[in-house]
Amino acid sequence: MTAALLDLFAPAFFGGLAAAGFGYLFNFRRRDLLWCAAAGAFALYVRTLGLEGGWSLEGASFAAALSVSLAAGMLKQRLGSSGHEIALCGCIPMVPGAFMSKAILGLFALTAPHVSDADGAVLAAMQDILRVFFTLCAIGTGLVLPMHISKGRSL
Amino acid sequence: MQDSPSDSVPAARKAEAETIALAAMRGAAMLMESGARARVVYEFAEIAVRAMGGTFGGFRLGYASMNITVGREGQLVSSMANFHAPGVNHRMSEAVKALALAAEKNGMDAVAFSSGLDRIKKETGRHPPLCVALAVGLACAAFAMLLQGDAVTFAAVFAAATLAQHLRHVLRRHGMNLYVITALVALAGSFLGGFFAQEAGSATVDMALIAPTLLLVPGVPATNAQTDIIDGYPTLGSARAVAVLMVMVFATTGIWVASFMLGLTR
Repeated sequence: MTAALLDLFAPAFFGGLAAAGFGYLFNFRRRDLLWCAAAGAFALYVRTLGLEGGWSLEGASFAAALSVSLAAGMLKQRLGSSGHEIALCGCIPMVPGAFMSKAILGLFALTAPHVSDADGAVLAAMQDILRVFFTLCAIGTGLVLPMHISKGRSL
Repeated sequence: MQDSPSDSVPAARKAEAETIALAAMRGAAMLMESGARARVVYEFAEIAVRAMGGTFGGFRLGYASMNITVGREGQLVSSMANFHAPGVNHRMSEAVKALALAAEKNGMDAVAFSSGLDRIKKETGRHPPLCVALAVGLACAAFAMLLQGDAVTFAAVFAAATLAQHLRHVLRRHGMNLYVITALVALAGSFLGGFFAQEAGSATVDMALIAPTLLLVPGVPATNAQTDIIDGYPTLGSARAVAVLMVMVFATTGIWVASFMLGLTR
């Protein structure tokens, strides 16, 4: 029971920490950093729930980005015009940077003079590239959908 | 030969239109350099021009340049400006947007608008570099935990990413090329992360190699690229996507060299 809860909340904790750290780098005001942390924690919590439920990484990332963007829209009075940026900052921990690096490293490996199991290496690199592409698409779409449905001004 | 008064009126209107165009483009450039989406910048340009008493003729936004057409009592002026490659600065972006909204509400001439932009540029501070380096170190260490790293990797990534972010700050101040900085910072961060993790006996050295470079992943431009395409600006969105891809290629080159130096790649 405790281990299951830890599996669910540890990603939320580290997601919040990563979002707050990147919020600091992006020069958010101190009072907005807590919102960044909350957005990151919420995004990772929803994504973890999705993954635990057997969804793909892309599907879970889409649900997480959509949830954070909807929440930011509901808190518009409180967050002001920063709502979208805070939601975006919360989704930064879900950007699959490590997969992207792995994919490019995999492609580099294919240029070696003697490649063992070239078919396997191509397949692994291609899987990583597709995963990066679709996950980024899922995050971007999840973030932008509520804004277009509400049809408010962006400024 | 002196201009007659009837000649000087259109010339004066053109000069006013030009002042409005330049002020609007300065604000738009500050927004782009702060990481705003294309839709926000387009809205800003239109609001700013109208608030300053001009007629909005049109606006084109590129990756590092823009054009605007502004009218003033029948006289049209088209201007172009270049700006630096997009970064991320939330406080700056919020201040510029607030200035445009204030101008829309109360009206503002081009000179006052330009002074407002000067004030924002001068007064908008950034967090202290050392604190930023520590925050980024913590963020990358948190990433390492999300990637199933162990406690030793957490500590190694924290130290390596903090030093890598500090190096990035120093290299930026020297005005070095963005992609060269990316490769050098990735090399330093990756090497230090892998080295610390190896020395401390981590079971997830591969994570310690990649996680310190996650500070270089252009997450905001990557999502902006897609948002811009969805919003109807595919040219700018595609340019942003290509820039993101190039940053990742340079970052991965740094990781690859570091793993070679640590004997993890043959």
